[in-house]
Amino acid sequence: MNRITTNDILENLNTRTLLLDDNGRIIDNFIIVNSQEKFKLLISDSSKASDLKNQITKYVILEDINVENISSSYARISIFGEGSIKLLSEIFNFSITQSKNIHYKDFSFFIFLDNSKPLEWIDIIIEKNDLQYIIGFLSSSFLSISDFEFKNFRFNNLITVLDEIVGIHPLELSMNQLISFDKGCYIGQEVVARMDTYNKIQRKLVRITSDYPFEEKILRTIESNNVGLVLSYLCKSFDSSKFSGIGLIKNKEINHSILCGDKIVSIIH
Amino acid sequence: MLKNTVPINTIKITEKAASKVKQFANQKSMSNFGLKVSVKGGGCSGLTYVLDIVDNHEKEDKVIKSSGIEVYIPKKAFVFLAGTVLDFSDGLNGKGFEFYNPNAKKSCGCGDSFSV
Repeated sequence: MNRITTNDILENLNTRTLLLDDNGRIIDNFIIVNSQEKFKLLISDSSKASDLKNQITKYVILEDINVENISSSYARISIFGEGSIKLLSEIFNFSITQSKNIHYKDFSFFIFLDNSKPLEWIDIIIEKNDLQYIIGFLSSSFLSISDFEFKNFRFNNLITVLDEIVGIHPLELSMNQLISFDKGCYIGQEVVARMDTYNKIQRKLVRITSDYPFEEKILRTIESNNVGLVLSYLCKSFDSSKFSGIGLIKNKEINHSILCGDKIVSIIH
Repeated sequence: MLKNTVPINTIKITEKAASKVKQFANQKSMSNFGLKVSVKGGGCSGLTYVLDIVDNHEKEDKVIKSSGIEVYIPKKAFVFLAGTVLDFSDGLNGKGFEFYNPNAKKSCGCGDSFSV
């Protein structure tokens, strides 16, 4: 995994890393659970874990490695927000300071502290059979939110999900934390290094709003020049009457008037 | 150009590359040796060439004789290497062993890795 993904994959250290194509564009964003066992658990952000399996299998040539998709047996619960780690530590009655396997009462699960997010973020990976118990257990302390609320929260914090960013360069999404710049070669490294060294990062992730729905994926200037993409949007923002989303926009156009179709788009700085 | 000069059911080692392999084998005091040429996942373009001087081949290896040395290629790697020429470029600006692989759609700048 160290040879093919962007981050340093160290023994006994659980890591979030990216799989890129040879043009340095994102294929997958996933967690590697690096236990001492002979197997490694990969937790993909993709809605189709089979894609990650297929991609990794492509690079297994002579190695005696078997890749299995076990996602039908496991579920992920994401807990986020200020104070999440402290509260979770109090609930389980031990200090959660690092990602690790937890045995609690009759249950076993894996906790991943995700430092790549701009706020406290914990993922709990658990067998599906135990999911309802853990949700019930946590629901007295944590508030579950709807897809709409989650999207709104993500947009406010400029957090993307994998399906929105496949095919985009990670440095344009400020994913530097998931990249080791001194580890040597991995797939896409040549392009990533060039973009970094020569400052070729031309686009930036921004929050966008509009009085109208984002009916097109392409963002343009008044002169019809292509300046960026709408990655995702909500019909109405949670806290305003505007349509809200996240976009990827050329740095040099960020202070100019931008259109989606023929409707004006505002960029929230 | 060395490209496209080799039938696709084999690979070729140039005299210069073979001479360098023999030199490395001598340094390791190996009298009976072969050059193992293989491929593994990784590198900037996805697949990386692997060279090793070994004293024998595996049962599953394809064995080819070229420029006076035996070349061992694992069958799973041969699909990526068929028709390849291995050359050696020396001197201050030389790149060392160089692969001319007709299966490679793209190679990285240093030439160590390729994609198909």
